[in-house]
Amino acid sequence: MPAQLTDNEATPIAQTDDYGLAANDAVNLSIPSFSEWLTQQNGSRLRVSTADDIAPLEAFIASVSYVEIYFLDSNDGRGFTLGRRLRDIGFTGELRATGAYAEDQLQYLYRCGFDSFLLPPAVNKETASELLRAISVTLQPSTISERQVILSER
Amino acid sequence: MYHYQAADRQLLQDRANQFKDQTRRFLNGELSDEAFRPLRLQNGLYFQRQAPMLRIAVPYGLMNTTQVRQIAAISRRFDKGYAHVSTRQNFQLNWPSLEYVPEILEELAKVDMHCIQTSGNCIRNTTTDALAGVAHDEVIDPRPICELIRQWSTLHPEFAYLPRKFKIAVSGSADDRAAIYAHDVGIALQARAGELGCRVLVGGGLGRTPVIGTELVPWLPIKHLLSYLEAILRVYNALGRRDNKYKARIKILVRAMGIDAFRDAVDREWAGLRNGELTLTAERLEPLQKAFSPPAYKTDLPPTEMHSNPIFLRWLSRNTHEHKQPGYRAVTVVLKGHGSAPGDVTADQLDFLADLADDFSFGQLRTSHEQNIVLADVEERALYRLWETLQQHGLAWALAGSLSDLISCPGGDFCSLANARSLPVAKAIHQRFDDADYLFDLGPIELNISGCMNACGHHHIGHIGILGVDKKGREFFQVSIGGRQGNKAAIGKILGPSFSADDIPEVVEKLLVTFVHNRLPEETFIQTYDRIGITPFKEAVYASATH
Repeated sequence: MPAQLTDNEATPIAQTDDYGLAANDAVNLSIPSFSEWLTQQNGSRLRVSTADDIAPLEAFIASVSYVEIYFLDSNDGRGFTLGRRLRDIGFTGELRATGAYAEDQLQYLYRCGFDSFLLPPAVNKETASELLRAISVTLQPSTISERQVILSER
Repeated sequence: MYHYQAADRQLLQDRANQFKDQTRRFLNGELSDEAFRPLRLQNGLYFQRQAPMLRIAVPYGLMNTTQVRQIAAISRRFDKGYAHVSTRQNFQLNWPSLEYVPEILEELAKVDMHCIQTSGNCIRNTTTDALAGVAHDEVIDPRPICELIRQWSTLHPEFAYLPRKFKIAVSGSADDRAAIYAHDVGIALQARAGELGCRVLVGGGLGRTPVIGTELVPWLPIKHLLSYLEAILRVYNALGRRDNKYKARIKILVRAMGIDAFRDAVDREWAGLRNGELTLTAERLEPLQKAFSPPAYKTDLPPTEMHSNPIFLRWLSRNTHEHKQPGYRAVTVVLKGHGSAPGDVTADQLDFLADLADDFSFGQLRTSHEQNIVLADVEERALYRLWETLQQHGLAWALAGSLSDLISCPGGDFCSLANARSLPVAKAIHQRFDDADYLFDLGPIELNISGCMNACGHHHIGHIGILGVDKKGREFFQVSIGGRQGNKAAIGKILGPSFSADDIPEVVEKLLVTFVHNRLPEETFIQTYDRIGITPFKEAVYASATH
């Protein structure tokens, strides 16, 4: 369960990226997209979308400290598997969910390894921390330990 | 049966509260239709043509009588006093109001029941053989493994937003009665040199593109089952198509990749999961196996001389099944009454069946994917008394596995997906073929009706399959023959141009006449079909075609 809430602000700049996202999509365009990161392969921060195949990331995972996953829409469940895969290959940094995921998915996302959330519009931190605790038991073994959660309102 | 632990109960409580809050937010406008949709679906709630439909999970079809009475009570209080057994062994309520659904969930939770994942793009209720644990040809009781899968798949955080729904079936017998070839994943339990394991099939399914499942692995030790399933689901979740819902099932992915490439992808994923936390230990499995240990059978039952009433004997031969335990039989109560939808059962009938289960079958009963009720542990010497009681309640007339035991989806009368109304067709067939002697003589014939290509009535694997199609706004029905479930599962072949609803009884009659003319002594419909092929049937149906 989330232990403590802290802030983390998004700092958008005006342009679109190779996902077709612009600043008003509430993404931090100063962080390289996955394809941009691939050309450098040494940055510690990157943004991926649910459509990216992150296999090439595995070899560099130790040097990565921040990954932001952009959900194209709330029914796009690939992001959940992406999160689990990142944790499975040893990613220990901040894993942030942004984009069009739904507030009722927060707890599942947390259980898939996300620990940082740019909250959906109109969802405040209080509501989010309640939603993160909606179900108090799990029937699956979890390899993901409890950790601090970062919540940011839009 | 498995008894819910504190954690299971807490989960149901939390889930009921969660849905209460979600419904409140939807009703006061905080959640849009679109946002509420996956939430309500994963709680079994559909918005249909006439009213919402609520689907209640019956894990692997097993219930105690307290649960059955609660379903009866709920259907009286919140619905129209009846419920419907679906082809996934679940119960459906056809007329609940949205405002009452959270309360229904609370009432269900009181008896360890719920609607979790009975709909939506997630892992659905795991199904099995309605004769699990009692079938004479059973090698391994599948129920402990079904329960294991239930726990693993319940609110699994990674697999709640799959490309499409995902259905798993488990069989533990020589004869497959769980339709494992027609599931996204089919599991055939096996034992090798004392070790428990299974064969895994993938990519079967009916619906718009019917496919018979392909073998993914011939032998998997049981301790790896959950990690292997997780690997399959992970590959599917990552790579399954999301751009077209008609191409989103795992069967399409398997076909597009080819089974070998799909297997390689699963193996790569599995390499990281194998021997991890999902590995099944004896400590975990044994309590589940113990939960399904046999009831207190009497072992000193004298041989029973059966009553000679011919109507009883006919029922005995068709509606009861050989049992592992000498002196016992399993009984099918067919829910195919005249004038009601196949699988419909009234609240009074549910209470009556619960009383019967208490009196005759250790207080448990089962739902079957043929949309019937099974009393699994009845003493042979009590069968006549049971039959008389069923007769008095009008529940002994239909013969299990005969034409009168036909399977049908609810169709266009209830379902917003359907192209055609399947229930009037079912009713017309019931009315045309109501001579019990004739039906008995015809032998086993499985007739399945689906109101649309989503194939909830499993028409592809019916010996006779009937599919509702829409042609320029008018209902028509396509007929196929030769489909079957079981170890030799096959998809039926389409006979030819489709028919109007009124023509269907006549068409079925012609198929039956062709069968009777051509059959060798003791031959069943499907055996005759295999021997003579589709042509004589086709000719008979279309020869004098005035349609």
